[in-house]
Amino acid sequence: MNWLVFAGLAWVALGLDVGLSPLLAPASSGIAPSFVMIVLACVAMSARPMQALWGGLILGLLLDLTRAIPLLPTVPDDPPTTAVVLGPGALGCLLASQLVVAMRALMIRRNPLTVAFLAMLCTVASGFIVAFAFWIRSWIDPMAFAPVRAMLIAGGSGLYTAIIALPVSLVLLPLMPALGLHTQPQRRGMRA
Amino acid sequence: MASPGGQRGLLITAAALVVLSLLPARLLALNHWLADLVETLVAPVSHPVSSAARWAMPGDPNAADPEEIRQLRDRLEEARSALLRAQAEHQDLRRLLEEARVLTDLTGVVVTHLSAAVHAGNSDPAAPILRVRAGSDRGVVQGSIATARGEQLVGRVVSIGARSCVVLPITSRAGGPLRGTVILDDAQLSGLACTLEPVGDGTLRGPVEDRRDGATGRAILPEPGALVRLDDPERWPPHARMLVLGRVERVEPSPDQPLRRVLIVRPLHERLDRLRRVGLRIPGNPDAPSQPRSGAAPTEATP
Repeated sequence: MNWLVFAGLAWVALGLDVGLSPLLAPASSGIAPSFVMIVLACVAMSARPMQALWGGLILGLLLDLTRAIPLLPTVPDDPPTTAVVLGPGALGCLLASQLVVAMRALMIRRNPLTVAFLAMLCTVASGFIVAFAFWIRSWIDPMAFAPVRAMLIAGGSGLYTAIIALPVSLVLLPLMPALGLHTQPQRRGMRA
Repeated sequence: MASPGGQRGLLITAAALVVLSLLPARLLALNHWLADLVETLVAPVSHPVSSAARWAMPGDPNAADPEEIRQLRDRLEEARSALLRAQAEHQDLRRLLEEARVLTDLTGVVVTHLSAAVHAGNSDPAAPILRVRAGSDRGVVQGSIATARGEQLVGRVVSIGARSCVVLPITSRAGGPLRGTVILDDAQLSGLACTLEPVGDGTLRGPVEDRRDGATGRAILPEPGALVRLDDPERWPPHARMLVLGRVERVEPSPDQPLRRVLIVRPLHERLDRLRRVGLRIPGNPDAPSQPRSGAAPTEATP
């Protein structure tokens, strides 16, 4: 895999996640698409397993670094603060990559519907891991966090991401050769 | 096949991330620096996209009005806020004098106004944040607050980076309760006190003072549409006082005490997370040597 092209794609996807995704959320629902998950699904669909897993981990770490979590004040009249937590997103994306790697043999890789389905799967799986991690964290640092709600938002965001992934995959799939990846399954003995 | 070394490295990294994700917030200061770095790196993509999207989907319901009318409306709101702030301060001064408190308690606070673009946020309505393009480089300090056009209080600055800061909106559940006053009459301050909590859907909700009309004995209830202003000197700085929290959307019986009422208040800007720009009110010490701040202008002094 060409890591330079991967970095470029990650940069654009992360910029869209930070700048555009929150604004695409329907009123007060919190459900928003994730462009990073679409890139993750595309990469994990075609890269060698270890590359897919490391790629997922890197994308997850970047997502963690763009997510500031508001914390509740420990003393009632203190002003609130935020925390940037490394780990939940990275672990979520790692699991999502592993899921795609495990399932990709059953998929038609050139089909935008495959990208949409896998992006949905990645968003939901990663969202559940993040929700679980923050649920555990809420025992350590008080925060306004409702795990069930976060999981519902992850489910909704998965569907939204799948819808957005359809047009985005029309741009991403032709870029796969530039990434050094192929949308056709490789024969045994060939290196991707 | 993956190499055993690569697999081992991945496992060690995953284990380290599990530990990192469970560290208490006080040990995560370095992450803020890394987050600042990533934010700076993605800004060339996120900022233009965000600006274009915020222009296309404005959070200001009056965005379609002519600029002249919007300016007049803003000036009217500013004047109202200034009047009410002055009245509140006047009441405080009288109380302090009556209590024979030493006047040196009233240290002057100079407030500097700064306009800055919002370039990112998150979509979770229960815990929204806004990333604003002004940090310590433009003089933002702890205790700064963010406002929107028309004196709407947006939130307070909770984290400051070199070139940006994080604003926690008043609609975030992490922000905690806010004490406010429902304005019954623009000319006076004798509004109804209320304590509002963010619900998580962009509104604030809470009980309102039970006050009776002296002549008829009937309860005085705020009308839907009445303005609610911040009056919480214990938790908010003086320069946030009497800024607008929102308008009363509904008045409902309290589920616990049917004779009491609860208010549902919605900010004037329905989606605080979609604002394109915010005003930052930065407190400063008037005795300190003045430092140049790009784009900042000291405009207001509050006692």
